[in-house]
Amino acid sequence: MAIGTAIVRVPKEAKKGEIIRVQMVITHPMTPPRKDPQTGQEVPPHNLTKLVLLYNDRVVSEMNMGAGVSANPFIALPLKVEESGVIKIAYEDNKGGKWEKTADIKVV
Amino acid sequence: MLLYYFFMISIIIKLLVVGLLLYGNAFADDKINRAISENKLVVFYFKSQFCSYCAQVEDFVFSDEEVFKKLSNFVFVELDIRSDEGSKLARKFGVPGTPTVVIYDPKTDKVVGLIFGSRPKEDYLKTINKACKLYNIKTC
Amino acid sequence: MNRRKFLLLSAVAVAGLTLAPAIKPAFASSKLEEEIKKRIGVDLSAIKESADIKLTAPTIAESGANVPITVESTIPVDKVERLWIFVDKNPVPWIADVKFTPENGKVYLSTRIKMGGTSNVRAILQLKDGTFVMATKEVKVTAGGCG
Repeated sequence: MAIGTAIVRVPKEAKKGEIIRVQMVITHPMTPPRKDPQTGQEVPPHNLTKLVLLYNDRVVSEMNMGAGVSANPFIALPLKVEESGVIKIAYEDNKGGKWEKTADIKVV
Repeated sequence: MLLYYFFMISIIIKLLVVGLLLYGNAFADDKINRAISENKLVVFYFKSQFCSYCAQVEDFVFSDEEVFKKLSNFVFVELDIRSDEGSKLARKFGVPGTPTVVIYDPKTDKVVGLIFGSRPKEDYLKTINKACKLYNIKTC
Repeated sequence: MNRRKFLLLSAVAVAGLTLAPAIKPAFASSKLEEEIKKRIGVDLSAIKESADIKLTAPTIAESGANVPITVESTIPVDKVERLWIFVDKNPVPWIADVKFTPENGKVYLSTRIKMGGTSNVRAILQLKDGTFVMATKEVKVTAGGCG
């Protein structure tokens, strides 16, 4: 899959006030600064730097990360839902990549 | 007329295939020849796509300041173990999988050292230092 | 100054100079401590281990490139400012940090991290009142390869 594509898994439904788990997997190499012995050159890092979790356009959580997070990162964060709406993750990397992914949830 | 074009195209394709076959093995050969002329040993690094242990070694071992500096005394050749060249050399050296580093003396055609797996950098340094000592590589 | 005092003073000076290198390491800070100081602005020695924060990580990890960790806390999320993750022996000990708000509902993070070798993993919870709590787990990273 292309760099920056994400799979977001949330329950389809939740009770009002329930704390759900937002699980995501983002395709990204997350390479740290490297030295390449074949070329003798330094290779700059390519990693996600920030991920924001939003609910109905409100910022819920912000995660800063570096290349210490594994490639194709799996991240799970909690979210307390009081009303139905749209869960959104907005994330970026250190080479200008900027992406978003949403998932709907119904609160009963 | 059509037959003529068909004939020409098949000749060209045959030439391309032969050229590719000859050239396809040139990468490692070039590096081995370079090592011989520069009086250096060769370090082959066998890797494979999607192997997280290779990423581990590239992130933490080769990128280490000390290891990187020592490796500059060798001719470093990175090979995909599934490529034609890679699989041929892997068979020759008895490479068990990836990541594998093989230290090779091109003049005597002998393997000087072999390390398999995502070992800590100290293990790599031990094997590299042994080769440096054996061959009296002063800057290593 | 009389000769005896001078000899005594020089003896002390020489003793001090030879002992100094042995004493220095106790004051030199590790890469981890420097990183924590730089990012959080606090000394590691001021952060206490607490059962209020739980860090789950494998005791033995076969792949250092993918170590699963989970952090949870019983501390109410509205008292929490930020969660920090560090790996003591990585070239860059800081891994990630997460800002929580009451809408998170609770403190929880699950992810996978890279470890260059056997090391402690630390989860440090920064609270709004300026205090910190920490959970530490040693993860042994073994060698692995692909067939």
